[in-house]
Formats: sequence, C-alpha cells, structure tokens
Amino acid sequence: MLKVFQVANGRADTMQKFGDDLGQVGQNLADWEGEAGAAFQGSLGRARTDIESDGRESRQVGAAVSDAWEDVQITRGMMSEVDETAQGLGFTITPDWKVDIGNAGLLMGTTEARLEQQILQGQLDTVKVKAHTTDHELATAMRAAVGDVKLNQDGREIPQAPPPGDDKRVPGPRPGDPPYDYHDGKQHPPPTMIPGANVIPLADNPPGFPPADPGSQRDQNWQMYLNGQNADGTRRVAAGVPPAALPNPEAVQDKGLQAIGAAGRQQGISYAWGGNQSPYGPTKGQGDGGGDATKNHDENRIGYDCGGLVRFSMFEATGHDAFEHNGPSGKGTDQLDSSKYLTPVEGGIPGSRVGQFAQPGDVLVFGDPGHQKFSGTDTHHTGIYLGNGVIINAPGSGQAVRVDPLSQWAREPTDILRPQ
Amino acid sequence: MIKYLPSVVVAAILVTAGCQSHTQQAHPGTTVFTVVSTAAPDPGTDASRQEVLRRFTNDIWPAVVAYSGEGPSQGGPGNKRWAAVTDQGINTDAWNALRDAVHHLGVVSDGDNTHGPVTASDALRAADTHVTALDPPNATVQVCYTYTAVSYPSDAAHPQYAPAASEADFHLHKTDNWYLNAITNDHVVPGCGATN
Repeated sequence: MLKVFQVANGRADTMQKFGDDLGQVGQNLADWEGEAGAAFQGSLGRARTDIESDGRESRQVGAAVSDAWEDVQITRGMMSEVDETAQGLGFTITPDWKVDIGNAGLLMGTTEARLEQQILQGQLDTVKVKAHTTDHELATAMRAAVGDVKLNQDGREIPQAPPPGDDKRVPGPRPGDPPYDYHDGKQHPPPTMIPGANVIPLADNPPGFPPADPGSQRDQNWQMYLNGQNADGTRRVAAGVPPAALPNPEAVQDKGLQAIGAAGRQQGISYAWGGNQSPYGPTKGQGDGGGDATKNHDENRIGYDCGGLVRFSMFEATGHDAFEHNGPSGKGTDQLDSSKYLTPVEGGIPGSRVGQFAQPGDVLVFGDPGHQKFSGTDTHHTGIYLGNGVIINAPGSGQAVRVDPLSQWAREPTDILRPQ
Repeated sequence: MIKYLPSVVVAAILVTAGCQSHTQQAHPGTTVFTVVSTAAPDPGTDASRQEVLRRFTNDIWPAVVAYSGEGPSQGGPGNKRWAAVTDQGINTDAWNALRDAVHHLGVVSDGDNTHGPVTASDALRAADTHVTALDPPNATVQVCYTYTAVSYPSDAAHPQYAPAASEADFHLHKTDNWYLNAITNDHVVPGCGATN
C-alpha cells in the first residue's frame, strides 16, 4: 500500500497542478497494485473526457482526487502509528495485514504478547479498511477522468443501475459476469454445464454470523465460518464437511476470499482437459489420446481444467496471471507451483496435513511421487483451499467444478501457496 | 453414504461369535481391527487362473493403487497407468463410474453434513487376492486390501490415523490381454486374513 500511496501523492499533485493526461503519470507505475492500480492500467493512454468536455467534469474529478489524497494522508498516518507501536513491541507487520509477534513473547511473556497482538491487530484491521476505501477513491477518480464513471458535484460516484437480471447473489454463471463476459472485451460462447451438479450458494455474510458491512469484520467472519467455526469460536462442524455457503466475491475484500468466491461462481461448469488457455474464463478443451478427455469428448466442451479454474480465480482476485512462473515451462499445475504471484507457504507435505498450514483461499498443488516442493515440476492437480479440510476444484473430465473433501488427496505430496 | 465407521466395526467385532479379537496400538489413540479371514476357493483351471492373477498382480493392481493415490485428478502418472490397463471398449458412463470407483477405494466413510469423511492416508496394500469367477473373456478378482485411514475428529489441523481394511471385486475383460472394466462391492471389512 505504501507504494500506492507514494504514487498517489505524485499523481494528486500532477492532476491538481496541471490537470494533465493520465499517461504522463509515468511508466514507473506498472507495478501499482490494488483497485487503483487496475484503474490506472485501464485508463492509461485514454483521452481525458473530463477535460475535453465543458470543464465541469474536471472540477468534479479534482474534488474526487482531493478527497482521495486527503484519505491517503490519513491512512499513512494511521499506518505509521501502528507500525511504530509494532516496532516498539518487537512485533512485525506481514504483507498480508497480520501482526506477527515473532520471538517477542519470550521477552514480555506469551499471554501479554498475545493480548498486545490482539489490540494491535484490531488497529491494523481498521487501517486495512481505510486503505481499501482510499484505494477505491483513487480508482474512482481515474475512471471518472476517462469517462468510465460519473461523479456528482462533490466528486462522489453516481451508482449506475445494474443491467436487467444481474443479481450478484445468484450462484453460478449469469449474463454480465464471467464466464459469459470474460472482461476481455471479446465475445465468447457460453460454457458447457453439467446438469444436476451440486452448487453451494454464494452469500454476502456467512450463515449463522451477525451481518457485517464490507470490511475486515465480514472477512474475519467468513474465515471463521469456512474454517468450521461458529461466531463464538466453537466448532461449527467436523472437518471435511463442506460449507453451506461461499462468499460473494464482490462482498469480501480479502484476496483469498475473493478467489474462493470467483471459483464458487464457476460451480457446475464442466471440466475440459486443456481448458486453461485464458485467465478471463473457461476455454475449449481437447482430447488426450484415449483417456478420460477422449472418452468424455472434451474437445466439444468449454470449461476448465484444474489449473484453468485456479488461474481464473486468482486473476479475478488479484489482477495477476498466476500462470506467470519462475520454473521451467510445463503444464498449468507446474506453472502455478512456481508462480510469480503466489507465495510459498509450506510444501512437500501429505495432503492429510494441509489443514495445519493452509488458510482459506490458498492454492494447493498436488505432486507426483518424488515431487520436489515448489519446483514447478512433476505436479498433476490443483485446487483452492476453502478451510476446514475442504477444497474447490475442477476434478476431471465429465465432472463439474465442485467442492470436495481434501481427504481424497490425503496421500499426495502437496504444496501450499498464497495469493499476493 | 456411510459404510462403516471404525468404532462401529470394532463394536460389531467384539459381539460377533467365533471371531478372535485382539488390539494393538499403531498410532496413539487408535485401535486395530480384528483379524477375519476372507479366503475363498479359486475357480477355473490353474493355468488360466495364474494368467489372470499374474496380469492383475503385476499390472492392474499397481496401476489402480497409483491412480487411487492421486485422488480425483487427471493427467498424472497414475491416471495414465490406470488408463493403460482399462478396457477401452466400455462406454463413457462405465469409464467414469470405474474412475470414481478407483478413487473410492480406501474410503471408510463418505461423511455427511455432520461427519467428515474417513479415507486412506497411505498406499493401498493387497493382502488377499483370489479369482472368484473365470469365464473367458470375463473374470472377477476379489481383493482384500489394507491401509491406514485418516479422520479429523477435532479439526482439520489434527488428523488421527487408524489401520483399516476393505474388500472389492475387480471385473476384468480379455481382448489382446486382460483389462479392468468395473469395480463393484467395495466395502469395509474387519481385516484380511492373517496378513492384517
């Protein structure tokens, strides 16, 4: 986020002083992350409609940028306070917004360290929510500058009416959302669906938890729910039992939860061998010379293979193509195993022990016998961990994207990777 | 579908007349099942039985074990080995049903909305193998196999292990060689003869 704020600083100054074209912000923003980064990339090189009109829009965009910049400064101040407190206690702040006590408990005592950690984590969660809000404000300002978003006199976004029938709470694919619209500006045929496939519905808040607004509390509720817990922390259900609901990707902010939601919306879509050709959605399959794919005529199916589902879901959540990798060229699962955009968490462990290390939204890559962890070689399956010993995956030809108990892969050497 | 939970199997064994029962600790907190012989006479001529058994033992069973260990997936080495010993003449539904049956080997319990599944956590080991039907080009091989089942009685971070055994019928069909075309009657048993 610091990088985003530094960029925002320069950008805000540029706009206020010069009211200039987005392209002049500079190519050094290529690594800009978050919603604002995506908005920047999407706006780069496009005409500034706010300036080309009667001038009124430019004042509105200026107001939006001013508000965003004010929030950037506030958020930076909040973050500095949390950071200083953490350093004073000997704690560290991890890139995924967690307070890590490290060895500080040895000095101050475990109980006291845990208490301080809880207090500081609450403050950090507040900063995270503010940062997301600021990120959205920056993105809105840039989208308004090229005419993608309309603003009112105060620089606030004017909500656009959703297209008819576009209900984000309906599970499964529907018009206006992937995979019918892959967000790549091209027309695609609909995917092949498996009739009668089991589909777990999507929801904004987890069942049995008090409704929470979008933000850290809602995300935390979902993580507890998916890990098989009740709101009071007691066990909700045995490990391996699938959840009754999955998060709407638009309703959560954590990238792992967003990936789960994106994959959840693909439930019911057919497996297709080789269906991993695009990060934007399902693609055409192919035969495999007499095996499952040939038997099931995957060449006539539009769907996902296991790597294709994970590639799509991670792209939806992070904006990065998880198939970009560091290892040798190989099949999709190999590319994910050495992805540039997935952080190794724990590797080479049997699938039966994944629950000790993985958290909801982590990518699991299953290896062949003798597989070397995170080597990007000798892997054959992948899925996204939901928590509580359950994964969502595209299992095989003739089958739908579905939720399965992880115990079915208990014997596999497994690598755990986390979206960045 | 719940077949048998280990505790149910143990309880049943303890009240069944004629069964010798004993326990031993394989993993902390787990109980080994009682030994019960599943031996049956083999039909067919000795030479033909040996041919079926040789093909099954050397090729088909190892391929099944390899693919079973991979879990539901496609394209791995086990999947390819299994496809190579599978009857290419069966239709798509039978093919998919056979694939599902392979992945269901070593499942003690599927679980439901309350209980998690109990499944094999290591490679399946054939203990008793018998040709129970032989009428060329068809044959049936009954296999009793053992494995270590894993369950999660508390949460996903704390697996518990217990020895287990199951028995299943493998149906073969001969063209240029014997190939697998179905697996039926896979069920949990207390043990596999003296090898448990």
